[in-house]
Amino acid sequence: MTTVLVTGVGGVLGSLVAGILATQPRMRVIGAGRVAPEQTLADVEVRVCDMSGETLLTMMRASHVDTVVHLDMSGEEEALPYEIPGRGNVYRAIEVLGACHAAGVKRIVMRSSTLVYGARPEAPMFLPETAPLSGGAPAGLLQDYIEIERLVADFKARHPDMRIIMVRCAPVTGNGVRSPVVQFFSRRPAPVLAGFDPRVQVLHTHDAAVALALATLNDQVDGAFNIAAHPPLLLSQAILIAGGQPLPLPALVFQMASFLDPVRSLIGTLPFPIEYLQYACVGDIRHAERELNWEPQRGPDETLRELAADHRQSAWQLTPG
Amino acid sequence: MDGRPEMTALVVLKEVDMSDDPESNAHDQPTVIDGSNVADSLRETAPTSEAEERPPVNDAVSAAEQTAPDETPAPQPEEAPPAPEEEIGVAYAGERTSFVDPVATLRAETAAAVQELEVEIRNQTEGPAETRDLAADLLRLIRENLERLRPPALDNVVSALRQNVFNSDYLDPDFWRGIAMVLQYQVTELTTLIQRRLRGEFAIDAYGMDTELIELVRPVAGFLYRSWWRVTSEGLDGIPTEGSALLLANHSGVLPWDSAMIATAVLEDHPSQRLVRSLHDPWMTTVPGLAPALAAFGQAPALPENAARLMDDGQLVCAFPEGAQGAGKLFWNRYRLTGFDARDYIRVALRAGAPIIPVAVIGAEEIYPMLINVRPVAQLLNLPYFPLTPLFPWFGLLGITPLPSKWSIIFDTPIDSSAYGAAAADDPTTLAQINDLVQRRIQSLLDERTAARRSIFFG
Repeated sequence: MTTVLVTGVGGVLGSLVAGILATQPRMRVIGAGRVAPEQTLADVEVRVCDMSGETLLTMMRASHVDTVVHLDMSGEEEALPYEIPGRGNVYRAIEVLGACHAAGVKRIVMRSSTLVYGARPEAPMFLPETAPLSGGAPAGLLQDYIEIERLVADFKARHPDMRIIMVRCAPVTGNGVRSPVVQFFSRRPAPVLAGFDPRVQVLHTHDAAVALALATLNDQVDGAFNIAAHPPLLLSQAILIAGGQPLPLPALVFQMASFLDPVRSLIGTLPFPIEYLQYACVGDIRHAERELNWEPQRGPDETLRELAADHRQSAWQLTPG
Repeated sequence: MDGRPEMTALVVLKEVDMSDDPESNAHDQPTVIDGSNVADSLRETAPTSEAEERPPVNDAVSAAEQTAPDETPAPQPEEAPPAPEEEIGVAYAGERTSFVDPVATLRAETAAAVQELEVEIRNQTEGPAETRDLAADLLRLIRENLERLRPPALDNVVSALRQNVFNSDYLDPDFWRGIAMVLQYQVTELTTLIQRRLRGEFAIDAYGMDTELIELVRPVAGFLYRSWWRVTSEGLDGIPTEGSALLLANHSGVLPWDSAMIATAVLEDHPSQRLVRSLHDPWMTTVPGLAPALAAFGQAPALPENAARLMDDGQLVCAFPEGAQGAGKLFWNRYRLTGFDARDYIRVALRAGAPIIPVAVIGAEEIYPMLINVRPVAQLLNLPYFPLTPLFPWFGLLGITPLPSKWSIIFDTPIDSSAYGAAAADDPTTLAQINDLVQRRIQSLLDERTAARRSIFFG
């Protein structure tokens, strides 16, 4: 009997992963989250708690947890709670790692992003998991992911007996989830850098959930995995398919946004630094295909068309009459 | 120009090309995978032995979906609203499958008539030879563009051809007016294509290559290949019909026309019609406008990782080991290899077991005879070099017109990399030896051929 603790079960991805794991025989799935999932999950013991390290530690000790799947990332599925200062996601990751260490949990599966490598002109067209990580992003979710990656690398060096599997997912969409990058794709207008059209990756929530479940179930694997739909799309193409309208602007306009209010409101907040509009940051998924036996089931255009259809539907529902 | 049967064969092949472009490309992509695949893979990776009793993961996914907190169930792919691309696809399919297709017939008849006229003009003996060849080449360009035309534009082109071109002599002004009209209609057709692309309805491969754009410039590249530089290619049969290979070529000519012509040679004259993936200086990725264009034409930044990935994928990879240094050499240093270092790429080829093919390009050094490299200007503009040629920058845009030298591209006998064994990839001495061998082979080909040619412009 294996006991798995899934954090962030209140979110769409968390509940999907918990649901998939719960269908496996001889598997006990505990779901912890600050909110309960909107629909009851069969065979998942849902615990609503404050998600502090202490609570998690008590939970892990009481239920003899073998593996922890940490999916409690705020900002992926809902707007980032900006009123919380500092790095909520990073603190939570630290607390989870600490609790796992104290409780003797040897395997942790964590969610990360394919964008952590950074967009550089001299990067290979398909980045392997061993590629160096980005120096950092100014703020937001991407910065959280980069910091968590560094933290985990540091933690792994100090605790070589623990297996921490980083599942680096491309921007996720589908099943009502729209991650910040995908929200940017469906913007009208979506400001892009004139003269550049890098390749981008997206991922359907289902494929992400299956990859996370496979990484949890496979005892042998370790390290990081890039998870994304294949093949990549062009940025402009992704925006057009997702129902947005690319607006090419020269780099100068982006620089002007720091002091000119009209330009700032036109450009809005980008979910990543401007380099990502200039150079590609595309992860090589062959490692995941080999080791996890995972394969993307939904193509990128299909995934984004579904998003565009959802978008139209909700817009229609919102406008009365 | 002779070799008429080959040309008809090319037309037929292009017909086939067009039929699976661009909508079937979308089907090539790995979109929907059978759920049993994942179930199988899960069984293989399952930690316990009771694999057979497990429910397939696809069921698990759908079970999770039913219980998942989403109000709007995700629409299944077949329920998704039909994209405009699919509508085009349907129209195309109808065109192809219907028994008597008026559009295809019209297209074929017109193409045949244009070709007949082209042959007739080429066979005429009186009149200036240059005008005759230009008229024939333009007709060929029109004929190749015909393949891409759809009904409204096609009808216009056909009527213009019938009224002005078919029943007048090529020395007649009416003929040239007709040609101009046809070319104008073809530009209109191009605009509709651009509009469609502005709706995101196109397919690229994993590296960003856009087959539709390549088909678009292919007639122009073919014109440059056959008529402008009159390229003769040798040794094309050494290029494998399938599987990867590493081409290593000398670099010359300020702008990378040599890379374009190597690709055109293989695309037009090799039976497999494969596209050579040239590696370009990673610096070019930072140039606005250039980066997306290079990617669309199937080129990749010159990094050993990229070469390895492309070769794993069974692609033809072409590298210019001299880099920008080679392309920007001064006119009196022409046909002298400088800084030839391909060891990183040779290592990749040895690992992949891909043959290494030295390529010598002759003629490209003379397209822009670079007299002086103005380094301060180059540094100011952040360019690798800033050339002064007899025409550039004195004549403005006209100075960018490459001189019509006579080219030949020689693909040398492939070096069998599997003969060196797998361990050779990690042996610096072997890598240096192979690098040396390739360099010597290219240099001797260059020396031999430049000595043998009598004129730069006529070969």
